[in-house]
Amino acid sequence: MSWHIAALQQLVNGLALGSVYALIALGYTMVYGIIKLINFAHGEIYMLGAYFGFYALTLLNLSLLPAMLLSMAAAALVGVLLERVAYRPLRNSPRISVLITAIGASLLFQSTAQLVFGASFKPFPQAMPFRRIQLGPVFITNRQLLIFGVAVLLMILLHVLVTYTKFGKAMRAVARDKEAALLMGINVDRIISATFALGSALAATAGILVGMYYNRIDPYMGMMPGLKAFVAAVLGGIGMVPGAVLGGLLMGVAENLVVTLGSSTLRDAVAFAVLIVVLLFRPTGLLGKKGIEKV
Amino acid sequence: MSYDRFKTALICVLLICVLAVPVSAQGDVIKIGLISSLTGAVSTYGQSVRNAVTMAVDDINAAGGINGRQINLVILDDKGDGTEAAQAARRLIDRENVALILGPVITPCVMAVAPIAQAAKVPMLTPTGTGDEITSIGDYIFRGAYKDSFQGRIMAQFAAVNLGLTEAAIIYDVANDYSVGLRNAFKATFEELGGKIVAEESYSTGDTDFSAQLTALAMRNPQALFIPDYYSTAGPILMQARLMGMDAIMLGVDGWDSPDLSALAGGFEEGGYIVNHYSADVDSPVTQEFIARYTAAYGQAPDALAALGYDGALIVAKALEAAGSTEPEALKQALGTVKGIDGVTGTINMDPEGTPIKSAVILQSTGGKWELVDQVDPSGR
Amino acid sequence: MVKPRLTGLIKIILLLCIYGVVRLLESRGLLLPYHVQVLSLCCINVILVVSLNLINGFTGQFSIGHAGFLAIGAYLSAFLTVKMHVPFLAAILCGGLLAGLAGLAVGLPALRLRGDYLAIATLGFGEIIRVIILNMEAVGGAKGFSGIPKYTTFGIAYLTAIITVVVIRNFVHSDYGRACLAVREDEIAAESLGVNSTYFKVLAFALGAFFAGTAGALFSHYLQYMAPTPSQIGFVKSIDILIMLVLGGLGSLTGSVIAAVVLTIIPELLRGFAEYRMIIYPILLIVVMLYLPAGLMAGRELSLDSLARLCKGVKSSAHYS
Repeated sequence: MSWHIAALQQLVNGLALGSVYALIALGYTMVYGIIKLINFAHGEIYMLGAYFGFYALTLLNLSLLPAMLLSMAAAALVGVLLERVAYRPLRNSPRISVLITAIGASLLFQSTAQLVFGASFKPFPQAMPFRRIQLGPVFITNRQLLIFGVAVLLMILLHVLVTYTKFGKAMRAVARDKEAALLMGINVDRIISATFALGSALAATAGILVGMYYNRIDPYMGMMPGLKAFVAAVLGGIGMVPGAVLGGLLMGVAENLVVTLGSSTLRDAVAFAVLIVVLLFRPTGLLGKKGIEKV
Repeated sequence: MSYDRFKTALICVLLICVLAVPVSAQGDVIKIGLISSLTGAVSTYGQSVRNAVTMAVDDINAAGGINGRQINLVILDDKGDGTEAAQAARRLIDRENVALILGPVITPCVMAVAPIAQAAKVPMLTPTGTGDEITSIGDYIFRGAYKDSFQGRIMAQFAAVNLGLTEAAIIYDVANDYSVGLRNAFKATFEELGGKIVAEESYSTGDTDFSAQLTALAMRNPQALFIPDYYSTAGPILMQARLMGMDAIMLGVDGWDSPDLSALAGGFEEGGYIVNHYSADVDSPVTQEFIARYTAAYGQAPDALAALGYDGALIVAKALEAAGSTEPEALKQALGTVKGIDGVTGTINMDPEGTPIKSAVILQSTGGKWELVDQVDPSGR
Repeated sequence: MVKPRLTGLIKIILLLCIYGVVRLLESRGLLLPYHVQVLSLCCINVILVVSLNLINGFTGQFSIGHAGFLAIGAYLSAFLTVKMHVPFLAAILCGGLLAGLAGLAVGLPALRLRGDYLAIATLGFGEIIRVIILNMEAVGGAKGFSGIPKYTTFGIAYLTAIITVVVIRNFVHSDYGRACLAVREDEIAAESLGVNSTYFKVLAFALGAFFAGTAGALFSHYLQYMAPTPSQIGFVKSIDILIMLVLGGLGSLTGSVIAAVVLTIIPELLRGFAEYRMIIYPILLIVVMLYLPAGLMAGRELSLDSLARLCKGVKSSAHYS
């Protein structure tokens, strides 16, 4: 393999890894967009989604699509409950208090999952045959393609949902000004619940796809990807649906580029350095709108 | 903030504190402390060790204990964090007055506990700590596992001499001491024997995507790939490497030993070689029985850490028996000299320096089973 | 109202009494080395939380990379005492100063970034520090830095904690501190009144980082071993500190002290619960947050005056009942 082909292959790998971040980041950004909360428990809902899928596939013997739907529904329920119990009572409290309950919820999900599902790494059932697709000099696996495809598809769907539907309009209204939205007859609580359900279902989708892709799930699988996906969402401009995908893909490509340039030990440091530099030039992320400072 | 709310919160806190008062048993028992990672990201390893040690202690107690005295095992969690492990050690030493500490499981915790045990002159045996420097902290520090340098050298010798390889690549976990130690030892020996490490890549604990590193390694087309890590990470690496079209010979370590490896690797461990403590071919009844009983008790087959945990408890029991008391000096002497322990991981002879002298075997995965290909003389520790 | 000079004296006596009681109980064997060890850790955490309070609580910045400063102080001081045989006190100061310099560097992005974006930048900074340390063979790399002498006694940790609290309290009550508060409340309004917000943000970061660095120096000589793991010097540690800060109440120094002590002791009490420990702890955290959203002290301070009032209140209510 010559250098330029390897670089091209790394680009493909980077896009695949980036799609993983993007998938998780989508749910992050949805929730953030509406209540400005860094939902630290999002990575754990992603983990729970993977486990729900795992048990739907192994215990209930479902095929991939029904298992996925079931897991999405279960995760949505967890997300709505979480919002109801741990976030809603604090809606008028300082934002940082909600952040702490989110961190608490994240720890709680981790340790409960460890207790219920066991601490060991579980191999994920391979519900899809493996195929290698040759694209000229480089190749891509069907799973990578699936993750990339689903990430882009969901991004488009969400974008359409947010921009063109009545529900999306209500979401944007709530995000802009809760009181005013309430005055306009929007059921704010319901919109927020629905957003959590949506975000959590997205996380579950990501959990199953990623579990299948890497063939491994464990109770702490949400920690690092959750963090990285959040970073990706911020990089793209948090609260923006296309920004999540852009940020995710960019992170993935940047990380792989670092390895290609020969310093895999510094991979994470370089990824964060890139982030800081980008933020210095675009303080609200790549697609973020510049806020107007009012006096 | 209303006063009532404050009161409620305060009551919650107090309630927890009351609940947390530990119950300690008294009587003519030998108290042993176990520090293990029961929560946190490495809890899967810590729980294996805890399960196996509990099983071993129950066995010993059921068989009449040590010289007629029962063992009382005090288990404390360290969350896989050095600070917590140090606190747990202090608590075991000062409050529980344990005769000996078993554990911790991972090196960062072991390194935080060892100075405390050494200063307090309480013997300590980590069943799983592999870092070379662990036992050099003091004469009260022992281990039940191989040294990284021993295992890494054996694999490198096997690769260079037996397999006749001249080129190898390494992928290792830069944030995991076990992985780094093995990589260093393998690299040094392999190059000493005239081999060449053509490429090296690293990742961090918790990473799941290795495509970038593997693509970079595949470019060099190495004859062999050395993956010094636990089965949980080695499995996905094996799978991703093969799916990428890498056809190198895969070389592994004792951390690969787990019934889950095959599923995690998607069956792609086939043909790979590992260093291990024991082989299924020459299995002793002890090993067979351990595997059967552990599986029955915990619903999953034991991994390498469980096996080492069980043997750690056996070494300790034997030493307690030989010492005839829980007096630290005598116990330390006994831990350094007990010989011929028939453990799950083979026959164990302890050494005053702190590391057991155990034989090693090289296994190859053939048709979904690990088969013996070579046996290594333990004298070259 | 108690006279200021008198309260000062009472406070000093109280603090000395706490130290004396600990020492007395220790010599009588009522406090084991284990307990003293936990108390030392409490003091180190107090320094960390109070110094983060200066950045997050009083100046209104959002930093979640505090462990990065701790790491710098811990590793540099350990390197100095182990490899260069520098006296401990000098090593603490050096660790603090280098961390303070790093704080200056981190303070600079804070000029452009707000809120969550700043949080992520500081988080990134903390992780960069950790990865760099992980790759530094001179301080042990992944193996960790072992063989650090045990210099941190309870006395030193206690004294440093008191100095930190006093310095930050005085800073907050000085003109500088008022300016920081102004920046927190409304940056633009503060600017229009002639407060150089840039200067004060960077100052808060540098000062907070300095104390975090000294805490780091104490920490490495307390544990005698440093490992570049997320829970020791990475984002997990940063989040731990943040939890203590918020639980105590942003902008309340006494809240920070109480929360740091309580949250250091609770996991210790729960240790015997094995796997259930990490279920009880987060539930506790969520419940306390739900009932006390602004933290234990909610921006107020526990002072002798308020204590005196509380006593009076209890007395008068006792009178009525």
